[in-house]
Order: sequence, then structure tokens, then C-alpha cells
Amino acid sequence: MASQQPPPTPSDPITSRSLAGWLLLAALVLMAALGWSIYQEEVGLRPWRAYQSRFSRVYSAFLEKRLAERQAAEKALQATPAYQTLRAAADAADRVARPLDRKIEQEVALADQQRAAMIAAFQTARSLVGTLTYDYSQIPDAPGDRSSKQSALRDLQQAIHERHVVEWPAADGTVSARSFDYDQLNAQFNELLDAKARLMQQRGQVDQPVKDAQDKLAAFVAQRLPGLNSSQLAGLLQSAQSLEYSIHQIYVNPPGKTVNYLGGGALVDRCQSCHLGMDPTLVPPSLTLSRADLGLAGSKNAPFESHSERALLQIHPLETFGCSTCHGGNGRALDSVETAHGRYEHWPWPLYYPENSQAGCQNCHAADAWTDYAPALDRGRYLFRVKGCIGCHNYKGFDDQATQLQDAQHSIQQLERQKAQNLIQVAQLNHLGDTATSNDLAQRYYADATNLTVRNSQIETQVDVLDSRSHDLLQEVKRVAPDLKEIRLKLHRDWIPYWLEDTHVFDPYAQMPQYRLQPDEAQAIAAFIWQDAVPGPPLPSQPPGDPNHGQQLLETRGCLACHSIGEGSSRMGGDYAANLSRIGEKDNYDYLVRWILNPRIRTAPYCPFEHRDLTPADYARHNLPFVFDLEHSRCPNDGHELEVQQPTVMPVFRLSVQDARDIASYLETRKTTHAYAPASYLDDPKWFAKGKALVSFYGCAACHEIAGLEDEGRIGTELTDEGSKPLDRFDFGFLLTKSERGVLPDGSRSARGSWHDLKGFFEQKLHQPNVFDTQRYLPNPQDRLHMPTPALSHDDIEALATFLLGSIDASQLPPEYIYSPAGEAAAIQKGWWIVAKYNCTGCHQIAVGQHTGLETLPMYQGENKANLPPVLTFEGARVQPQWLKNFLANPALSPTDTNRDGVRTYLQVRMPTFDLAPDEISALVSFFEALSSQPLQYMPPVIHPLTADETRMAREIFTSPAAPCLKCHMTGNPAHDQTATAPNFLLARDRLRPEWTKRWILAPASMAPGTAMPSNLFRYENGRWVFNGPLPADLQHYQGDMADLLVRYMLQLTPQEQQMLAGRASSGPGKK
Amino acid sequence: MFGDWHQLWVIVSNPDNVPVVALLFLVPFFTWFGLYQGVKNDRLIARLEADPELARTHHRKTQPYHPTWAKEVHVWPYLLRMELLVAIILTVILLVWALTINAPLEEPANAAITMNPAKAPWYFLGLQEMLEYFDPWIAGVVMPTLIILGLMAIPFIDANPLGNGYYTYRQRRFAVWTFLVGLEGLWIMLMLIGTFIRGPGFMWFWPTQTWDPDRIEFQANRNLDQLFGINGDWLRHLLPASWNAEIWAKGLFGIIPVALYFLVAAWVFYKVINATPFSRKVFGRMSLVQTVVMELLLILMLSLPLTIFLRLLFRIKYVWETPWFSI
Amino acid sequence: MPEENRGNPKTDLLEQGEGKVQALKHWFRTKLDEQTEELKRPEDTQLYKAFFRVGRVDDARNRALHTLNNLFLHIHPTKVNRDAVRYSYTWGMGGISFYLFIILTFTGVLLMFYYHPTKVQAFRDILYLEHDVPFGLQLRNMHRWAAHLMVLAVWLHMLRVFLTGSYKRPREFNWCIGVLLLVLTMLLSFTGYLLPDDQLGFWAVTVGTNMGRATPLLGSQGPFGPQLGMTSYNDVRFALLGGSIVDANALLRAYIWHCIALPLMISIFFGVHFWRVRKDGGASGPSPVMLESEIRD
Repeated sequence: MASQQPPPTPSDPITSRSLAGWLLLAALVLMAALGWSIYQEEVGLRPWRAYQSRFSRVYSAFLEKRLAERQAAEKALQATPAYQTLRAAADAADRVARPLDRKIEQEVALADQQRAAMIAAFQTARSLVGTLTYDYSQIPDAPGDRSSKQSALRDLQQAIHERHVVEWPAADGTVSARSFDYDQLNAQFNELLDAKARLMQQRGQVDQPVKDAQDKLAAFVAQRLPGLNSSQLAGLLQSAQSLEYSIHQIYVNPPGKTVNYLGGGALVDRCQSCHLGMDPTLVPPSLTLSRADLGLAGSKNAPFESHSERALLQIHPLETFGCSTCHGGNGRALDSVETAHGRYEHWPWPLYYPENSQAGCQNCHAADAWTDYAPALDRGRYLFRVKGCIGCHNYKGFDDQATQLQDAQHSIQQLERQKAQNLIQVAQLNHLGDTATSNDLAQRYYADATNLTVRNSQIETQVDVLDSRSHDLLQEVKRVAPDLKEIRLKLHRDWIPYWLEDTHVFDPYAQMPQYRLQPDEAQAIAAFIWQDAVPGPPLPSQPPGDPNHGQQLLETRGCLACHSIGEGSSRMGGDYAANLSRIGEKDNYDYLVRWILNPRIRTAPYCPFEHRDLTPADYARHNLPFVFDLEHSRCPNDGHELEVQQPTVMPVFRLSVQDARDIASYLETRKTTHAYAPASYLDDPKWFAKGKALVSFYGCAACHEIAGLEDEGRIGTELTDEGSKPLDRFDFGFLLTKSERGVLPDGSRSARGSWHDLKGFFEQKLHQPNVFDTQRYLPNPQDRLHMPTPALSHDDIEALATFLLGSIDASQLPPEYIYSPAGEAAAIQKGWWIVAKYNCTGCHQIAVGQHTGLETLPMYQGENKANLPPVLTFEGARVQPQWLKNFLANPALSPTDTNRDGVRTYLQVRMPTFDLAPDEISALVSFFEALSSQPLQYMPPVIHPLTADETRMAREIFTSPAAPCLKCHMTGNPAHDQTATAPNFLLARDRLRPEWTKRWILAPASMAPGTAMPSNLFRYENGRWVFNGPLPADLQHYQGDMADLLVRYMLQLTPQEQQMLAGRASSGPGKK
Repeated sequence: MFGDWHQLWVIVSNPDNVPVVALLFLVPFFTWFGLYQGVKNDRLIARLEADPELARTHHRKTQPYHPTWAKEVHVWPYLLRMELLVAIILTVILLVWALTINAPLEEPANAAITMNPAKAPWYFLGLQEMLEYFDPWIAGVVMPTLIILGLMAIPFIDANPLGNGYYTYRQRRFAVWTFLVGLEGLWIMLMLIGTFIRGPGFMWFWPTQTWDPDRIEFQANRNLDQLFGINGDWLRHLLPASWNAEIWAKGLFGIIPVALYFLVAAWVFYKVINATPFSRKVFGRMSLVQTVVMELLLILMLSLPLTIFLRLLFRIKYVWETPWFSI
Repeated sequence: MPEENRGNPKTDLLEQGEGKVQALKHWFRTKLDEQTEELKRPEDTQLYKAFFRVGRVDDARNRALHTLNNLFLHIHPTKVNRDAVRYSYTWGMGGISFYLFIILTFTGVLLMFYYHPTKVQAFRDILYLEHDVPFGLQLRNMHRWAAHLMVLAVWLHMLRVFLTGSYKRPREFNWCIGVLLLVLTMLLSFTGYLLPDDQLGFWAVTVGTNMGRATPLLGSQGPFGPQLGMTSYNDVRFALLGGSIVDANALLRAYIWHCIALPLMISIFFGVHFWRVRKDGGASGPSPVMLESEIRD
């Protein structure tokens, strides 16, 4: 109704209403929004500003403190007389130089004034003359009238002779008017320039002594107070205080190269905008910042430390590598910590977490066996080998020989097949030839036949090459785990199922990971390997030995470098090989003795060509004795190389049979009272087939040698590029959602939130390999994830995770970033692979700062350190390569007397015989030479024989009470050698390098800290080394270098000489 | 498992889903807003129909009116100021939106790594949803074309002269219903399903059900002919041996239900169109072409929900299967 | 001035000077007043007139001229249905769509300064926009959200037009144009989706274009397509992507469609749309309700 009777003349709601209010409001809100967007741009997206101002604060405070300390120190130093004298000298020099200096200064000033006074006149004159000369040159010589030309010439002359008046300042300060014509101006001007140059030069000469004195002073201070001096610190402080907000950026864009994961384009890293301590312009390399230094020890959010490993930055300059190349992350982003660190869903290359930071090294150093500065990574590689990962998972670089051997064997097979075919063809061709209708046809057939025979002989030569290569390879290829062909001789049968059931119950440190076998599976496998093993011949039964002596031997000969013994806190020894605590429960005594004597012995040789173990019958057939070793390594049936040794890395310790029995007897005592259920079913043939299937299903044959399955390959995924697989290729199973929401499999919350990333996957997988089967319904055990559980500590898991995270597809990186060493560096890496394989580092320190297994053992503490095996950091420089070859081949250095060390017979611990293949030996030799940066070709220097005088002289020194060499060094006299602590000199001739020997006798302590060898035997005196002890008067005159003399003498020492001297020493006063 | 609110939050908070969430509120609001004004007009119409006298004098609007007021006002300033205001407000909304929510950017494109779920942009999710029920050539090509053509055809098949330039429901019941069903009941509904319901593998996850990529769905779709066990035995002896009787049988059989549906649907719509005297009057104004086109479009439109219905309830994939195409 | 000084030449001079100064002052004051008066009425200044071509008097004629004489405003009539000014009828969705299109053009052009449609560059350029370009992040955000909003606005515009029956005679044709604009809007948005060259866009476009395969007759997997010799190397999808997979060519094509072809087309149709709005009698309503009894056949 209302609309029908509108109130009289109502105002029109549309025209009368004003929107001004609303418009104003809207406009204001718009302004606010714009303001916000500017704030966001300036502040919101620039959190680094806050960091920078904070850094400026704390860093300035830090520097102020340092500066104060430094200034105090400098003041103290200035008080010392030494400084005073130098200071005085400097002042004196200054006093002498100053007056002359002043004078020259004044003369220079005068010259400058005069030049200033004349310059205007000179320039005008010059331009005028120049112009007129040009004009004149432009006027053509008209043969007729030359007037214009002449007039121009006249003008020019006039200009040249025109005089210019100059207000000329004189030395006494007076100013007089002098007039010059053009030439004089010119001359005067140049003269003044020369004069100034002369004066400056003079001044330099005059001040030289002052400079020298001051330099001396500075050098003195620098030497007494190393590090940044107060003025440098002040400079830093200045720059720290006046730090302006700016993005600190590393921009890497080498032309035509790709330096970031996005492929193409430049790498832009702005990490230093917050990590200001990493910016060398702010924090010079000579300064290291820790949070504690900055008083931020507690602070979670103050990323100001300087780089933890400055040396790495020397090798990998920031301006070439940036940060994210090694560490990952989104170097460009600065708007928040998450984005900058690339720790958000859609950034494929997140920052490595601190515990995995060394994964970055692996990216480019994937081919290394040992990477300096990357202990965690090296540990990861070590575990990958020792824990048997390598058994199932292929990884490029690991265990290359195995692949090479396979290839060699494969091609041998092919060639032989071809050879056989050829022979058949030859026969046919000959037959055709015989039955040929025409003569020349027959000729052709015979020709073809002969060609084929020739080809066959070619094939044979190829096969020979392959065979001799295989000979070495068969020697080099080692298996991760023991040979199962001999378990009937080796093991207590009842122990096998118990072990299979749960390896970690029997040995918590077991190399063999723990399979989750069903009872029947375990039974089947046990039965199969038992029935599959060789039944005999039975081993000679050994009489028992002396356990106590055995224990002593075990603990001193060096077994514990690889093996550990004891459990829990009482456990000692290395984790490279099995723990021996309960070995008594598993091994047969007789076998153990044989094993300790020589672990490489096989019951029967394996023929890779026929894929079977040979029997005496095979040898008998070719009426050969059943003898097989490295010399007799060809198969009687087909003439190809045999596997004549156990493929184990365990070396031969050259023990006497008695010692072996003692050790074995001791080991037999290592047992608990565990009662084993009788495993009667082991002989039940019904298990065989199933067992065999299971064994190849679980890939046992990849680590163990098992009859009939010798050629089984690796069953695991290759891990070479594991770290760069896209995340969705990793099957998190039903844990996916949990992982995304940071819930760990056990229901607890993950400290770092979501663990749906490679790190998370690797960690969980290594901790519990079947974790991603959680909630899955998999009734058939063989459908379940069957990666076994390795025995790993938390740190081990992190180490392996680091190793895997770093293992990325190399094509993601620019080739020139990938470390592919050549020459010595290559030799070093090649050597490290072998060192890692045989665990040389268990006994020897090879790299500086590297730790050995033995050095941690209780029996090598304190003064017993002297009983440790020699440190090899200098080995390449110390010994001659040829000698080293021989030594590695036979550490006893004697074919007959082998129950001892070749060099240090006085040591309990023994260098065992590894039966290294020739190329392994040469690789090791070059390794040691390269490691101590020796040239890879060795030229033995000539050693001049001694004159009679020199001999007497040397003898004096050699036997002088100040240096009774033979007191400690071995002489070959058993009574004496009991107490000796140093090698026999007779070895020196072939063993030592003269130059090293000299360095050694001069300063042994600096090469091997804590050595028994006395230092300071010689003193340096006008250009030569002189013996530091009493010398008979008639020898005082000797002018030569006595150290050289002694070296020459030692290297030419004859047994007779030594006998004689030794006799003298023992009778002489040196004895008491 | 249900009750996973985190999952729901993940979907809703996905930047690209913001417009869909907005849609959830905007569409109902504006539908209400339009119909509300329509109903107000309808009341007025009812009054005027009842009272011809009033109808002659009345200004026939619900907006306030006075004879002295100008029928038209100047664009400047009365309209422009309004436009300015709206522009400013819109700008503010955009600015704030852009400041608070970042446009998504995922990993660099990589054909080797498939996304799960791989979804079209939200405004095409309707089509992607149709893909679940139809062969691509229908869902991806025929349907879109029909939708566009159908929309364009509307003005030419709507013979109802009323409701031109004012909101009304009563005068255009059928038109309004059809359109709302089409736009909101189908297009937007499918889009919402595609956004909120379709998870990994484009499987059906109810709200607050966790999107589990490992989930496996029982799928056993059969064709109508299988339901009736058509295998062409009865046809085999009639055909030359070279012909594949089964295919022919299925092909021929398929025609039946399709034809049936067309007839029934046509009849139903005919009834609906002629439900009231008024609608009969409107129908009377329609030419044959108009009728046929409208019937066709309506039938095809109805086929969409029907197919979905068949698929979801009876797991029927095709009703008509031939080697070349299947429906 | 004092008697005794009369006739003194010096003081005379002074007087004259005095007078001159006074005159100057007066002249200046008057001018100043005039100026301030003018400034009080800016719409009277020459500048203003030159700008708007309309006098100061706020009468009907001038108000009309304001719209008529302005290139940007003349898409409007000079007067409109009084009730169409209310928000309730039009919801302003048409205008909003157009305004969004302007914003999109603006931001889009700025984005083009930083974007290369190549496989190597595209993704990195987005990173560059997000992390390096001043306001780049906001720019990109605004462009994307405005695009979404525009699709929304266009839909609602259609809803409004239908509910008010505005497609009826004489506006049938313009409705069709509107439908085309709707399609173009969605295509614009879709083509933009691929440009960052990230997984999201890549798979969205893959899914989208895979439908093209199924085009009847023209698609390699569509009905009768194979029979007509369609393979994935010559069918519609190939034409869309410039290849059999979504790759560099697809990126380039999307870019050109998105930045040149489609904007051009949509602008033309905008023109037609607006033109027809005017020619078909401006906003359709709110017009007086019509009664069933009044239907004339």
C-alpha cells in the first residue's frame, strides 16, 4: 500500500542521496590496502633486514671486545725493550731523513707552482701555433704568386716568436714577470715535469731507510701478535657498525655451463644475506665466528657463524660454487626461512639437514673411496660395504672387479663357443674339399678351412689374455660373506637354523642383516645349504692348544683390528669383521685351526667356465695331481682360470700350527650355555628344492658362495642415483599421510614436522626396512618387503642416509663440477678403494688425522703406543717402491722364515699376507707415493762409496755414545733383538730413500711425534750439518756434511761391518 | 576413515580452490537475491492481475516511485559514482587477496612425474567430472558444444513474452527451473564434486575422508547388453559368417533403450510444458522447429544426470555399445 | 603632508614615487582577488573547459554532455532508467567483468615484460618474478586471482541476465555474444594456466587437451577418427599443442593465444556487446512488469 500513497513530495532517493561518504570510506580503505602492499614489499618480504641489523649489533660488540684486547696486547708489546729498540731505530732513521725530505717537498711544490703559472700561456701559444701550422700546410703552392703562402708563413713565424709574459714565482717566494717565446715555453714546461719526476725519485731514496725500519717493526709485531692487528679490526668494526641493508648475493654464470638444478641460466645464491658470517667481506678468513663468540649460544635463530670448514671454501671458492650447489635449498628466495631453505612442498632440492650436510660432497665426489673433510660420508661408504648393502644393491664404483670378472667370463664363454663352431666348420670344409668336383673349388674350400683355423688361433690368444686377467680378478674379487660350500666342515649343524632365525640375537653386531624368515623358510634354507655343501674330505683332527696363549695372541697379533670380541661395554676391537664372542658355539675346532692358519684354502677349486667345483676325479682324468693354488690355477678340463682361493679378505698371519691351535682353542672357549634344538631335518631332502628357491629369492648367493648359485646377481635396486629419484617413486605405503603430517611410524611426532622426503624415507627404511608394509595385508611372506634389517646405530643410519641423499644423477650437475681426478689424485683414490677393501686403516694411520681400530684398544694406551703398527703417512717418501712391492707381496721378506714381521720383528702385532693381486700391489705402491706427493717414477739416487777416512768418521758417529744406533736398532743377534725397538740397518739399503733417511735422522720427532729415535743429533753450521757429539781430534777437520755421510754409511752397511760394530758396542761402555 | 578435518582444510585452503569456496556462498546468495526480487514482483503482478483498474494506473515496479520523480536519471553522476565505488571496492578486494594468498607454483613441468590427482582448473572440473561417466568424445567435445549452442539457443526457443527486463518466477517457472537446474544443479554441482570429492586417482572421497593414494575402489561396470546377456546367438544364423554377430546384436540392441529414453523423455517434457493453461498458451506460440530444438536440448541435458544415476546406482557403463562409439 | 615641505623637489619626487607604489599595490590586490575567485570555481577555468568541453553550469544539458563528450563514458547513454542505477537489479556483474579485464590487461602487460615462453626460461622467470622483481609476487598473484574472479563474475552476470529475462527480444543476439564472451573468458584463463610451465599447469593442460584426442572425426581416439586416418600426429590435439605432447611448442602457442589472439578476440566482442547494449535500448530494466492478460498474439 505504501508505494501507492507516497508521502507528499518526498525527496528522490536516487538523486538526493549522496555517495560521497561511501566513496571517501572506500578511498581510505584503498589507500590502506596500497600502504599494506608497500609495507609487504619493503618489510614483509625482507625478513633478512632484521637479521642484518641484529648481526651488525652483535658483530660490532664482538669486534669491540677483540679490538680492546688487541690494543691492550699491542700496548704491552710496545713496552718491551725489543720493540723499543726497533722503534728507536725507526725514529732515528726518520730524524735523519726528515730535513732532506722536507727540502725536496718544497722544491716539488715550487715546480708545481711554476707550472701552474705558465700553463695558461703555454696552452694558448700551443693552440695558436698549431692552428697556423695547419693553415699554412693547407695553402697550395701556386707556381705563380706565392704571396698568400708567404703571408701565412709570416703569421706562423710571428706566432712562434711572439713573447708571452708570465708571473714567475721564485724559490724565495717573490714573483717576477718573465717572458717566453713559444719554444722556451715548450722547453720550460717539459723541464718542470722532468724536475718533478727526479725529485720524487730522490725522495724515495731518502725515505727508504725509514720504510725499512718501519717494516722491521711491523714484521716484529706481526710475528709476536699474529692475527688481525688493531687497525684492521677497527676497519672491520667500522664496516660492521655502518652495515647497510643490502642483499648479499653470489652470482655464478659461467658461459655455456649449467650450474644449478633448474638447468641453464645462472646460479643466484643470497644465503649470505642472513648468514652474514659466511660473507668473507664482512668476516675475513682469519676470523672465525661461533654463536658463543657472538653471545648467541642459546639463540635458535641467529645464523651468523662463519663457515665451519674454511679449508673447504679454499678448495671450493664461493664465487665458483655458491652455496646451494653443495647444500641445496632455494638460493634465490629471501622471503622466509622455509622458502630460502627450499623446505616446502614444491621445491625439489631442499637444503640438506646439518647431520646430512656431507651429502653435498657425494654429489660431485661419487667416485671417491675416501673424501677428506667428510667423515660421516666416509663412514657411510664404509658401512655400505661392511654391512653388506653392496651384496644386494649395485652401486657404481663399488666392487667393480666383480663386474669385470663377469664380463671376462662371459666373453670367454662366447669365444669358446665360436671356436667350437669354427672347428666343426673346418671339418666340413675339409670334407667338401676332399669330395670337391673341380680342383680349384677344392683349393677354395681348403683355403677357407685354413683361414678359420688361423682365426681360431687368434681367438685362443684373446682367451689367454682374458684368462690371465681373470687370474688377477679371481684373486681380487672378495665376497661380503663366508663361503657356504664348506659349512659341513665348518659349522655345528644345530646352530644354523638358530642363526637364520635371528642373526642379531646371536650377535647384536652381526654383519649379516636380520631376515624376517618364517620358521619353515628358515628350515628350508638351512636344509638346502647343508645338503648343498661339500661333504668332505674330513679335516685332519687337531690336538687342543693353550687357550691362554691363544687369547694373548688374538689380542696382540692384530686380529682385533677387524674383529671384535666381548659384548656391550666389554666389547673391544673393530667392526669390520665378525664379533667372536660366541664363535665357540658355531665353529668346528679343526676347521677353525685350518682357517686361522690360512683362510684362503679351499676344499675344491671352482671352475667359472663349467660353473661347478672340480673334484679329484677331474684332475685324475688328465692324470694330474689334485693340486690347485695361484700357480696351478688352470682348469684341467678346459684350461681356464679357476677360483683357487676362498674369496675372503681375511689374510694369512703366517702363524705356527701351534699358535693357530692355541687361538682356535681360545675361540672355542668363547661360548654361552645356550642349548641348541637338534636340527635333524637338515638332511631331509624334501626341503632342498624349496630351500634353493628361497635362497635365490632372498639373494643369499649375492654375498655367500653357494654351490650351484655362484653366478646369482644382486637382487636389490641400484642405488647410484637414489638421491635424485623423484619423491613419488618412493613408496611410503599407508604411512604417506602420516609422513606428510609429521607422524612417525611409532605414532610419535617427528621433530622436523613432515618427513615425507628422501631423508625421512631412508632413515625409516634403514631403521626398519619393512616399515612401509605397515597396515598392508600381505599373507604371502614373499610379497612383503624383504630387505633385511642391518645392525645400525643411529649415527650409522645418518651416515648411510647422508651417503644415499648425496648419490644423485651426475647429469644434474655441470660436468666440470664433478670430481674426476687424474694422475696422482687418481692414484690416491684408486688406492683408497683397495685400502677400504682390506681395511688397512684398521691397523695403520694413512691419512693425517685418520684414526685406526687398534689405537683405541686398551693394550695400546700410554707408552704402549710404541707397540702400534707403523704410521704410513710418509710411507711413499720413506721407502723405495720396488721394496714396497716385495714387502706387500711377502711381508716376512723371506720365503722360509715366515713366522715373523719382515721389518719390525720386535712388534707383537703382525703385518699379514693378503695375497694381493699384482695390479693391487702396484696400485697400493703408487697410492703411497702419491699420498706423500712423490713422483710416480722412482730414480734411485747414486750413493758414492766412502773413502777410508769417511768410513772411520762415519763409524765414529755411528757408534758414538751420543748416538748408539745399534743400541735400539736390530742387529740380527736374537739376544739383542729381544730389546730392540727399531729396524735392522741391513734392510736400509733396499728399503729407504736416502733423502728421507737424512730428514729422518735430522728431525725424527717432527715426522713421527713420540718416536724413540733421538732428535738434535746434528746441528747446522755454516752450510752443513755437523754431528752434535764428541769427535776424535783428528776428525774435527772434516768439512763435508756429516748427516749425508752417515746416511751413505748406513745405506752401504755390510753385515760383517755391523757384526763387528755390534760386538764392539756390546763389549764397549755403550752396553751398561 | 572419516572425521579427517585436516584433509578438508587442506582442500579448502588450497589457493586455487579459493574461488570455488567463494562460489559456495556467492551463487546461493545471488540466486536468492534474484528470486527474492522475482517473488516481490510476482506479488505485485498478482495484485495487478486481480485489479485491472489499478493495473491501468500503477507504475508496475516494486522500487519506490513518485510521479514527480524523473523516470530517468543522468549517468553522470548517478551511475558513474556507483561504478567508481564498485571499482574501488573490487580493487581493494583484489589487493588484499593478492597480499594474503600466493599464487601456487609447483615443481618444474616434468612429463615423467605424474600428478595425483591431475585436475583441470576448477572451472573445467565439470567437464572432467563428466569424463567419469561418458566417453571423452561426449564429455570433452559433444557436451561442451551442446552447452554453448544450447545457451545460445535459449532466446530463440523461449517463446514466453513475459518477464522481459524484470525478475519474476511465476511468469517463467519452467525457464527458471531449467536454467537453475542446468547451471547450479549440474554444472556447478559437478564442479564442486570435482573439487571437494574427487581425490587421488580421481576417486570418490566423501568430505573429511582422508585422500589416500593407495586406496583401491571396487569397479565392475557392465554394459546394459551384458545385463540382458546379449551375445548375438539368436542372430548368428541370420548373418553371413563373416559378420561378427555379437557386435551386431549389441549394436542393434543398444538402439532400443536409447530410442526408448528419447520417446519417454520427450513425452514427459511435453506433459511438463503443457502443465498449466499459461504454459499451454506459451507452447501454442512455439514453432515446430522451436519445439523440436527445445525437446532435443532438454532430453540431452536430462541424459547427463540420468547416466550418472545409472552409473552410480547400477554400475552401468554403456547402454549402447558399438565398435566406433559407445553411449 | 606638512606645509613647509611644499615645493621641495625632493619631496615631490617622493610623492610621485608614493603614488606609483600605491597604484601598483592596488592593481596587484585586485588581480589577486580575481584569481582567488576563479580558483574557487575550478570548473570555470579555461583548463577545465578545454579538458571536459563542458561549461560550469550544472544543468541537464551539461550533465548529458559530460557523458556524450567523453570517449570512455560514451559507452553509457546520457540517461538511464532511474532504478537501473540501483545495485539490486544489475548486480554490476557486467561492469565488474569488464573492470577485471582491464586489471588483467594491465597486470598481464607488466608480467609480459619479465616472461619468456621457452622451456628453459619460463619457470625460472616465475621464480625471478617472485623473488627479484619489485612487487612481482603481488603482480602475479593479482593477475591470477583477477582471472579467477572474472570467470566467477561472468557466470553471475549470465545468471542475472537470465533471471531478468534480458535475453528476450530485442536482445537475443547480444545474449549469444555474451555466451561467446563467457567461453573466451574461460579459454583465456585456461591458456594462462600453462605459462608458468610447472607441474600444475602441465598436467591441467595435459588432461584438458587429452579430451581433444576424442573429438569425433578429428581426434585420433574419437569416434570415426581413426577411420578417417587421424593419428596423434595430425589430429586436433596436435594442432592445439603444436606437437604430440605438451612441450615447448605448446608453451609458445598457449602464450600467443593467451597474450594476443584471445585478448584481441574478446576485446572485439566486448565492443560488439557494449554497442548492442546501447542499440538494444540500454540496460533491460527494471522495466514495468507485464501481465499475462496483456500478451498479444
